[in-house]
Amino acid sequence: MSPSSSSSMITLDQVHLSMPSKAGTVNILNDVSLAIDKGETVAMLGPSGAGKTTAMMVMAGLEGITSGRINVAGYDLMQLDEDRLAEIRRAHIGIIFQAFRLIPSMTALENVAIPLELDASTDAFARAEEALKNVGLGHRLDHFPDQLSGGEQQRVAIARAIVTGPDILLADEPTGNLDQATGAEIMDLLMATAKTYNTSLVLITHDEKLATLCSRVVRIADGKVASDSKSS
Amino acid sequence: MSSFALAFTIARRELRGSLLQFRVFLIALTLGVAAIGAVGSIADSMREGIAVNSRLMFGGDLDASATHKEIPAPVLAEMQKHGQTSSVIQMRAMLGAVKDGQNIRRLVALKVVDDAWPLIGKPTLDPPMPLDDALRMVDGKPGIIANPGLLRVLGADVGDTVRLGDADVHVSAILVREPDRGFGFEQFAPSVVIADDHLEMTGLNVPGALMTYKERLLLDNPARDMAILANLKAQSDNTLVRLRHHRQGSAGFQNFLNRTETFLTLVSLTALLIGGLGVSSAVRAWLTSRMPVLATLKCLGAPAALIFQIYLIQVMILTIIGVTLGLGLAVMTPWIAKALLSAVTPVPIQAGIYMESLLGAAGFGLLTALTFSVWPLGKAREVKPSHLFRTLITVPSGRPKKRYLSVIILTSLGLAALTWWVTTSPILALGFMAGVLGALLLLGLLGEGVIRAVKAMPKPKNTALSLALAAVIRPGNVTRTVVVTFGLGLAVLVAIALSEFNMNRQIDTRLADEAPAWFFIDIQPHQQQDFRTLTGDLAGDDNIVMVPLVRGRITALNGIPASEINAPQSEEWILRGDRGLTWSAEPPEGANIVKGEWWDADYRGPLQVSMDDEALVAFGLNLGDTVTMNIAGRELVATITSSRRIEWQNFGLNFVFVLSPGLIENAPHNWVATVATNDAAIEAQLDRDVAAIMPNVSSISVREAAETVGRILGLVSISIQITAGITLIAGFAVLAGTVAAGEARRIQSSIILKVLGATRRTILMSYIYEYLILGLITGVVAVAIGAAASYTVLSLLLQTEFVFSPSLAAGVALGGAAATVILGLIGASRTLGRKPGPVLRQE
Repeated sequence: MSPSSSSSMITLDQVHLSMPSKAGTVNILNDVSLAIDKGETVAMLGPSGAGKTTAMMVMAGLEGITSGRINVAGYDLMQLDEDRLAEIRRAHIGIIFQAFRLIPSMTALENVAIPLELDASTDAFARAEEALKNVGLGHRLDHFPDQLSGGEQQRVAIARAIVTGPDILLADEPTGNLDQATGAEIMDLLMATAKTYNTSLVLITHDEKLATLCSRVVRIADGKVASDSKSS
Repeated sequence: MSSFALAFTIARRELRGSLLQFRVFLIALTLGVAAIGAVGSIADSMREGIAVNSRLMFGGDLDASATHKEIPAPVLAEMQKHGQTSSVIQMRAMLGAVKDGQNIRRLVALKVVDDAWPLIGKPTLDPPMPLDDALRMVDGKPGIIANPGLLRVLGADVGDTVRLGDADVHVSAILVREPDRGFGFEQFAPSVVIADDHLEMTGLNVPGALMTYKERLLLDNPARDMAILANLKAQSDNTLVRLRHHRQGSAGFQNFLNRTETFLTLVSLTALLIGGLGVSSAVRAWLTSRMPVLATLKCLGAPAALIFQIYLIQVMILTIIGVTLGLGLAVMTPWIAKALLSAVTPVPIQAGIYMESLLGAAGFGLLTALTFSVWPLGKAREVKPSHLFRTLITVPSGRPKKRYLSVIILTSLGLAALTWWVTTSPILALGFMAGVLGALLLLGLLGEGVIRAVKAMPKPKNTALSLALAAVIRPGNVTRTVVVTFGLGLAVLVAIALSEFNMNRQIDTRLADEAPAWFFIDIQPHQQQDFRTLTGDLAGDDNIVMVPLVRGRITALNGIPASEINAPQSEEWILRGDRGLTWSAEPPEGANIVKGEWWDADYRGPLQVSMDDEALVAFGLNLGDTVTMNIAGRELVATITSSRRIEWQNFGLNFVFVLSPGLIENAPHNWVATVATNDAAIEAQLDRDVAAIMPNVSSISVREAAETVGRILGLVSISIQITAGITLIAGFAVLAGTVAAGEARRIQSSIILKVLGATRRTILMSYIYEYLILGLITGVVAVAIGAAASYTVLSLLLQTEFVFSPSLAAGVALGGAAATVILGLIGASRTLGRKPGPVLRQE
């Protein structure tokens, strides 16, 4: 399937997601509509259980929806099977987790090279090395995750997310496991990266101060978009 | 990079430094493959030994044999046309000597040889000397060579004079190695060789003596063996001559070898299948620990098929390591067997590498690993990458997709097909697979039952017991694994222990209560009355049973020639070679007539026969059908008028065929007798007196014969126990692995309990209770399944009495429980010493 032309990089149109539970059906996302343009940086704020992470999973094609439409990088995700969604992620989306999610059995270089290897890139390791140098870890190429500090691990995760040159970066509380100083460094790196590559960034955070670094702030509550404003 | 190459690269990275985590996987697979490979390789090394030495041990290419009479001249002449021949007479005799002032004598297999013996190879003598010198007359006494063990028992040495029949003979040398000693265990008595010129002097060749005349032929052109054999068979038609190819010489032993191999392979396969459960839980544990990696790979764009490939490649790499280690152990076993078993096996062991058996074992290993790992692999690929945003990622539950279930079905069928190939019996292969699956299912259900029962129980007041019961049913418990894997291993052990117990008990009980002290054979018709008087005076008339014995061959059943009858394997021996036949006016004592009626005591009409009921059914015969037999060259046809159930285990005189008296009484025959006594002094005197008065009569001590059988069965029994032991070790390994896999969860629980104020003693006691409960339940279940299996084999298949031994069963159950507790505690105790602080800081 080829992408459709759309001015937005991410479009969520009247998205509903409900799941059965012992207590009855739970509405996790409730009529969420959102459009994020190329190069736009968006912070998603909201209390725990509001549906922020689920909304991000939906954007990444990691979670299905009950009704509505999702268009990412021109692709209607509802029409794609699991393997095609994996290809879309590989080509267009980089994801950064709060818990880093590096593969412990691989070195920093191998971790960063993996998305390129999956894409059958012939210069995977050269590009991975370049990406690591760009995040200031040129001296840690052969270190395994457990030999790196939390901040360094998150830098590797950022290098892995950007190495394929994605259109979209999804970051789920990327500083949540880091101290304040390291967190600030990581945020600077993320914002700079998004700017350099003109990448759309969606950042989930609880930190109002961090949210102000983004150009737009979307507040989620009870599975709905409670407010959507330009950052001051 | 191709998809496979990428999968291989990532798989290699994933395995880096993780091999230790797969120790249970590797131990289970290595043990199973090694056991199957070893059984096959040792059996092959014996088969190869037989093939290489077949002509040597047979004494030529072809042989003709006849009982009571010499080989007919036309057959002899035909044989002489095709190569070198040698005449040998084989018979039983008693060799006597004086040891510590006591006359003792032993039954021997006497071989009377001509100048041409042996046609192939030569005997090894101690001291070394030419054979002619060893067998010549020394001081007017015939020279003999004799088995070293026999001489030891008799207290005789080289140069001594011993008594053979009516003659004093000179022991010229020890027969260290007899070239044509034949195959198999049938030669119970040790060998003595004497020259044919000297037989007359011993007085053993009296009319009616059971002498087997053999003419061996060493072909000038061995390539024409089958044509010459066919020609000889045509020449010997309608005579009592039996013609055999050297390859037939080992048929009996090969049968025994095949059956033992089949049995041991199935026990080994059980070990491998138990190991398969270990493989499954090891793969599941590994995948559980790798779930975040799988989800991350999916998140980064790896398709599910690639994920499956990556982890399948890892399983295959580990399988290849395990199989290679197993084959490495198996490949050495023929050399080990040669070093340890050469003295006790009747065939030479040809040590070597036997690829077919090794490939079979590798196939079993590969298919087992696949069968047991595809399920968790198929489920793991379904992991949702969205779970990466959550803390706990587990292997998805439920059944994998149909294509993976199809793979499991295919590999299981592959295992059944391989079992069929190894056992050469589809029924046995399917029966075995169904039995193992049934036992696994039963044990799995019982494991589930235990969990449900514990859930339904009221909470005990004892804290440690309460914690133990909670551990039995908590998520990630080891209950099912312990009950299934350990239970199956223990059940195999119980089945073997109970079967052995019952067999030994039967031999011991019958030896003590029913068995006669002596069998006397070769009593000549003219000695019958004297023998009865002599032995009756000593042991009492009621304790003497004497029956006439004629040798004859069954040539047709209901008119169908024996050569055209496809005999069931268990009854094949009835049609092979000469059989001992008897006649009787009255039914034998304690005869259990199943069908028909016994003839009148004064019956003298056309020949009737009473037949063993089991053989009657096996050959598909009915009352009124006929049995044709060749006795001393005459064809006799008897009508079956009754059938009897024979208890072969009672050490009595049992015959498949008992004929009606009359015409048969004129056939050349001798008498056999059993004499029962519980008095050791009378037992010894019986032998002495019979030896003094009737030196041609051979005696067989039932006790010694039972001991010989016991020694042979003991060898088989040790092999079975070793293989069953491997099954149990596989169970131990799986149990240890399961305990280790749950270590993280256990540490977490114990730390929280400590934080909440539980003492180390309370936690330790909870571990002891937990494993004691599981061990005892597993032991009881294993006893039930093992006893059922033993009952099925003994009572239903072998139709012998089955007695349950509570002490043996309790011993195995308690032993199993103790082993479970010890293994569980070894694994769990590592968690006891952990301090809460460091663990909590890591969280």
